[in-house]
Amino acid sequence: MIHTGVLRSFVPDNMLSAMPQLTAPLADNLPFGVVKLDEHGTIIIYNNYNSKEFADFHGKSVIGKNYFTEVAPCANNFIFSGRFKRGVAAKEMNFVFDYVFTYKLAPTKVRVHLFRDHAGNNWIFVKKH
Amino acid sequence: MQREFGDSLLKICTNPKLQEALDSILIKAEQDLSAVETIQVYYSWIRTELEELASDYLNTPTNVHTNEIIANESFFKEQLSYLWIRLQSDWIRYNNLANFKLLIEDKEDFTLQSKAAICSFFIQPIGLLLDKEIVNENLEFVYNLLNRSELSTDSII
Repeated sequence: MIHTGVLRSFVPDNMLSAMPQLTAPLADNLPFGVVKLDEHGTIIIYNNYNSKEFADFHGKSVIGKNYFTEVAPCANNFIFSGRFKRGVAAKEMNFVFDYVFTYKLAPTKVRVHLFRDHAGNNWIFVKKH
Repeated sequence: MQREFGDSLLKICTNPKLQEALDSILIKAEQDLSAVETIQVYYSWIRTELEELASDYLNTPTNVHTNEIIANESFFKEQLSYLWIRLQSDWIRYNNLANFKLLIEDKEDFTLQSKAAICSFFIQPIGLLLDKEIVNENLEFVYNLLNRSELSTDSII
């Protein structure tokens, strides 16, 4: 892995190793945000936690939209999407960092975990502080 | 039509949801008093810009040829477009800088965070009043300013 950051992830280790099996219904039951993306940033899975906590970001349907430009444009910079793109290019990504969302909501601090599983799926995990 | 556009601008300023949004931001920032003042000044600046634009627009003569009325409306949409571009730019910049500080310095800058949030609250309602073609022309115009000859020299004036 190229980066793990210095912060601790809120995602259990055993879950990370089982990520390729995570389906949308299973993700909906998790107590943190889960977004599965293709290599371009297009959303494949977007769980209930995200829909509930960050509803102001987007309309009802976000599947098929680009996470960085259409859903959470406050993440479209070298800090966030830049790391995602570099991780996809390197085919490995495991980075935890704190971030503040400022798009159409009062500043909201979150912890973010960018992760690429062993099957090559790209994930963004988000949890409010 | 003319009054409708001007009134829509004023409605943005008086929308109670914006005041609620500001209040929620100020509550979060209250641990930093200098941030609270800066945030209020910034919010007032955006409101004033919109109110003055609306006032100027509503004061343009209406007893003129239809073509003049249309031209005036386009002119003010052009000015509103520049304000929107400025707010978009401010939002992106403040959002990115706030997050850079958090990442590098592990420091929460409430002023930057709040300015970004305030911008984002104004961006959407203003965007609904914009003419996309005018925005595109404005962006192209700004981009083309890069080609001005003085930018290719070492001169700063």
